[in-house]
Amino acid sequence: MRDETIIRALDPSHFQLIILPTEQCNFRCTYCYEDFEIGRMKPSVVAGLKRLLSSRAQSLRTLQLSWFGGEPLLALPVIREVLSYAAKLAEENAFSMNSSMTTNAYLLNRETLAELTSLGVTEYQITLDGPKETHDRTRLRADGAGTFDAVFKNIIDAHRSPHSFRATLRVHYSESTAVDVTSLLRELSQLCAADERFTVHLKSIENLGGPKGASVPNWSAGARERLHSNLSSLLPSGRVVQFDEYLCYAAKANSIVVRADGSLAKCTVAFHDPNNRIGHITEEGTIEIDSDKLSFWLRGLSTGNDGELACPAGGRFKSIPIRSIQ
Amino acid sequence: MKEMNIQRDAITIDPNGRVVIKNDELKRRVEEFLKDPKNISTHSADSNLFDNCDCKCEPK
Repeated sequence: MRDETIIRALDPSHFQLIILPTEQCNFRCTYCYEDFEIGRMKPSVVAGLKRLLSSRAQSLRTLQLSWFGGEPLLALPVIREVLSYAAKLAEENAFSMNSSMTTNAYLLNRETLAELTSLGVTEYQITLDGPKETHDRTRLRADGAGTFDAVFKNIIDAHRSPHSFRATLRVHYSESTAVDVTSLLRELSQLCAADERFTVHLKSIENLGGPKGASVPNWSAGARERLHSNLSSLLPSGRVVQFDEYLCYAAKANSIVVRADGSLAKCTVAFHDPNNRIGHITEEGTIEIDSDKLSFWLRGLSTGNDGELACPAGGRFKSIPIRSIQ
Repeated sequence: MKEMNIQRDAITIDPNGRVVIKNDELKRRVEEFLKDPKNISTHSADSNLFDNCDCKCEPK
């Protein structure tokens, strides 16, 4: 990995907060790893976040607020409050702020997109598991209903909107869904060709362990790469997300995950691992960190080891099961 | 950074979430790099969630 990439992860004038405004979700995807036990962020945590941002404002050059969940749009008032406050700080202290959101897009209608883009949320990641029949088998609403129609309508409405944003459409595929996914990609290909705001991230479904892991068929890296190549060829050149050099946010010193209950983490996947519970934010806006746990996540910055930088949790969550971090 | 032999506890964060670098040579290199405005201008673009390979609802 290039030294410049590592140095950016050490930049004290940059701050990335990955914020979970709620850990509830309106979806129950059949493969999801989250347990939805923590609800919406309490006012005391929101107050702490705002005070933390205030305390950093004068020394920041760039602030990245990334919304995650749960489904972040179930807690739009929290997002609205924090972003409005951060935007004011950015203006007063002349730092640049950008904001992104990982959302299932079920609630991302025209009005909400308009409001969010005006608040500065200009980057979105939205997942599709295939065309309607395939998607509706796995990405279910909490009441068991399908979600494709509502999500795809919101994508098309976003395409027809004048707003300035970028959307990465994450498309899951496996050997068994490849044919179905092909028909979706043909549709997305037209969308990407017509609208530069959209790109596609092809992601294979794999057995990553856990209680539902056995239900996911194993397949070889070679088969996966061939299929990825074939599916990529259906999309316009340059519109498929590629990762040549990957430094995970969990390995960056200037990135912290703030969970809805005010606890702090580094990784947004290994939520059940106690070593990923690195501290908490106080209502006064200070953060209290377990230095030993933190140094584990940041060790790649010292060693320069590519694997530890790409996935300090020990796997890469790509083809290797998550190891317990001990 | 492999050549610098940095101690594991040389990088931490303070109560305001600010990065603290205790290794003088590493600190100097970071400050030198960030003096160049062009290294700042593209900074935020490389640090969003979309870089993440598996950040959401990954099958397990």
